[in-house]
Amino acid sequence: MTGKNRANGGDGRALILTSLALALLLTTAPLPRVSVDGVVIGAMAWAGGGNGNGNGGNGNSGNGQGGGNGNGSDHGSGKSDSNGKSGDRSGRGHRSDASSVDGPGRGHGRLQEIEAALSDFFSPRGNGRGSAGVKAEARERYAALDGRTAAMGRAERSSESFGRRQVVLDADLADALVRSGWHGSGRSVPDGFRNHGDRVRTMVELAKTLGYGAHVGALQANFGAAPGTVEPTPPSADRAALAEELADARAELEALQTAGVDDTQAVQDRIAELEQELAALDAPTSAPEWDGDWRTADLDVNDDGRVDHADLDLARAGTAPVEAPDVPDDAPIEPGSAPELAEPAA
Amino acid sequence: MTRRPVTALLLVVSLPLAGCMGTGQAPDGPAALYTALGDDDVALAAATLQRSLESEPQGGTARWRNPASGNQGSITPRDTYVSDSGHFCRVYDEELTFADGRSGTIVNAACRGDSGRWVWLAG
Repeated sequence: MTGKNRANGGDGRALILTSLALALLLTTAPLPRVSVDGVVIGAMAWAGGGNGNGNGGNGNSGNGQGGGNGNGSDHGSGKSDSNGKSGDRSGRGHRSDASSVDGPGRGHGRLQEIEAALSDFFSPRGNGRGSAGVKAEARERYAALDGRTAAMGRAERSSESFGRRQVVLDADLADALVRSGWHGSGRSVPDGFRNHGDRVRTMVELAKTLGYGAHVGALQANFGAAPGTVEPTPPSADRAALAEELADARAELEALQTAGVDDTQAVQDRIAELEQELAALDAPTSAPEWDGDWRTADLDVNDDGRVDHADLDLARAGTAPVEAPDVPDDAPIEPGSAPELAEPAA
Repeated sequence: MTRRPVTALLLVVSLPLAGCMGTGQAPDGPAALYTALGDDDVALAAATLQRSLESEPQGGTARWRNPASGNQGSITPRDTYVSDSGHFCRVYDEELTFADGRSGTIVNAACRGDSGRWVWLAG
C-alpha cells in the first residue's frame, strides 16, 4: 500500500501482477467485491474496462447512488449501496458500518486495480487485522489524544454501557439538543434533583419502570413534558460522582462493621440505592412497550405536579399503571415509526 | 527461460489470491486510512470529533487540516438517537483525505458520556 512497499516489489511483483491479471482473465471470475465489517460495499470498476470513470455498477454491485469514480476497490463518492439514501427504510438513515474509499486518481485500468489490491493484500498494515481492529486502534489513538485518561477510556469504551439504539430523533430535535448544550432547553422539568445527571438518571429509570422506555425519560429530562420555571442544572460528571459516592458508602459500612456498630441499615440502604442507580445507567432494556409521544408521557406518578424521586419510588413499588395518552398526529417522535437506522458502528 | 517456471508458479499462487479478493477477504477497507494518520493528524481529528458532535447541527460539517502533513478530514453528524440507557448518541461520517490523494469516508457512532465527552463506540 505504501510507496515503500511498492518500491520494494520490483520485478517479482510485476510478475505477480501480470500472472494475477492473467489468472483473473482466465477464471472469468465474477466482479470482485470488498467487504468492510462484513458488508459488501463495492465492486471494482470493471465496468470501465480498465479505462476511465467506470459507472461503478448498480445497486447490487455497491454503488447505489451516483456511481463510482472508476478506481479503487470500494470506490464511489461515499455512495455505496450500503449507505445510500435509497438503501434503507428511513429514506435518510444510513447503515452505520458502511464506508467508502476513493483512490488517488481516476480512470485506473484493470491491471492498476489488481496492483492496488495486491498492494493492500501484502501491506503489513492492512493484512489480517480487519476493519474492526483498525478502528479499535484508531479509537485508542483518538481517545488518548482527547484528554481522557486510560481509565476513563476503559470505563466509557464499551458500547454496551450505552445500550442499543432506542429511538431516532428528528433533525429539529437533534439541533435543539445541540443548541441547548445537550442538557436542557430552559423548559425543564420541576426540580428536586441533585443535578442534571440525577434528573436524567431518575427520569430514565422512572420512564423505564413505567414502561415508556428510557428515551422518554431522557427527553423529558432535557426538554420537559410541560413548561417549567426551573433553570436546568449544569451537567456534571454524574457517573464518576455516583461511583465515588458508592465507594464512600461502602467504606463507611466497612468502618462501621469493623467498629462493631450494629445499626448499619441506613448505610446499606444507601448502598443499595446507589448500586441501583449505577445499574440503571448500564443495563440495556428491552424495546419500549409504549409507542406514544414522549412529550405526553405521564411520569408524575403521585400526581403532585412534579416529577421527582418520589415518583420513582412509587413506580418501583408498582403504584402507577401506565396509561398511554393519545398521540397527536404531529408528534415528531414516535418510536414505532421513527426512521430506523441500521446498527450503529458498535 | 528461467522465468517461465517462476511465472507458472506465480500463476498457480495467484489463483487462490484472486479467490480471496472475490470472497470478501479483503484488507481493512476505508478504515485502513486511520493507520496512515500521524499523531498530529489524530489530535486534530479527535478534537474535531468532539467539537462536531457537541456543536454541529445534523448535517453540519466540522473540518480539520494539518498543514504539516497536508492531510485533512471532516466530521459530519447525520443522525441522533437515544440509547437504552438514555444517553444521546450520534452517527457520523468521518472523511479523511490524504496529501497523496487517497480519501475515504468511514461511518462511526459515538455517545455522549456522563462526563460530557463523546465516546466513539466500538464496532
